[in-house]
Amino acid sequence: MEQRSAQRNPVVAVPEAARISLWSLVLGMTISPGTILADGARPASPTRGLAVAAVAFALFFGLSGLESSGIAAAFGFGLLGATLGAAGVLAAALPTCLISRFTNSPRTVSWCVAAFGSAYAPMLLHAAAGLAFHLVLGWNTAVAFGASGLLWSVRPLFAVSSRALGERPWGGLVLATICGGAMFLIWAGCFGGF
Amino acid sequence: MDAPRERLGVASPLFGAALGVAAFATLGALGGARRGGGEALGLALGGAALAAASTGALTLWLHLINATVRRRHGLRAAVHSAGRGLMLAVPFALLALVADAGMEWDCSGVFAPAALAAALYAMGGEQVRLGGARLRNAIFPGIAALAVGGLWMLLLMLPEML
Repeated sequence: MEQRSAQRNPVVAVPEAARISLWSLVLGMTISPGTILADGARPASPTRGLAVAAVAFALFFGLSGLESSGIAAAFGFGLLGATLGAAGVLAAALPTCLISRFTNSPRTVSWCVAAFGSAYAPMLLHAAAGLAFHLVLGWNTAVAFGASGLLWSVRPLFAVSSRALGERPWGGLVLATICGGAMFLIWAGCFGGF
Repeated sequence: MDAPRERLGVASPLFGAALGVAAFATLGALGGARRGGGEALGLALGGAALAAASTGALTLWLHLINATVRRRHGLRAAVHSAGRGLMLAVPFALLALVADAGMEWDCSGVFAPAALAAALYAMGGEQVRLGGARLRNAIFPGIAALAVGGLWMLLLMLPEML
């Protein structure tokens, strides 16, 4: 039944990855996103993907708020970051899913949401490390760890984008630049850069 | 591992590699932009040379250690992975230009090592995608990224040391 359905609509045929732990997902997307995305498998559930992005941006914005305005602002900025992270993933995933319908490897909405969300895993790791260093040693780490983490997410974003667009690296490059750049500009706008 | 037996082009990776080297030149120039035109030009040339040399050396090494990929795709795989890796520097250079212009942020020291690491890891990732072993194609780019990131920081300090 499933096979017949998959033959009719290739979008349904995209397999889900073997269930991997959150730690494997985060580390895998940081070190080798191509492996996690291998064979067109869905890297995680959409909820888990959204959660990775939301927590990553919550930590990044919260850390920046903590350093610029104190503990009370940190929670507000953390909440803003989580909202922006989840909204940013949806804003990237939905048009990409639509565009992918015109390629030879169409993707489902859940694949795009899961993959784009998981792509921010390097930022989650960096921002968590930055928060730990800030709390333990009192260092200002929002730029050194948080912004670096966002930069480290460009490569997974590139891997996800080019795969979603049917192995088109130039399209992936443009999409990764837009996704990384937009979030960077929003962060810079929130913290007085522009 | 069932690697895709795709036919690898050369023109697109070469264009990507050229753009990537130009992106590293831009990142170098941004590192010296506040110290004068001469230093900006020197760091641009130094950055481009460092990126070209490091990716060239890693390309050669990955080509040597990935026998399966070499047999299957020949030299095209090396050119392909170098191009796919280097082109990843373009978003970093664009973001650095925005950060420099909009935030007056002297960001070459943050963006360039991250761009180098992304480019070198991506080269290993391409070898894996084409059928290479996972572990060695993650370890060697990682070691190279650490070393070249350190060299970039030295490059930025070079004008003050001379």
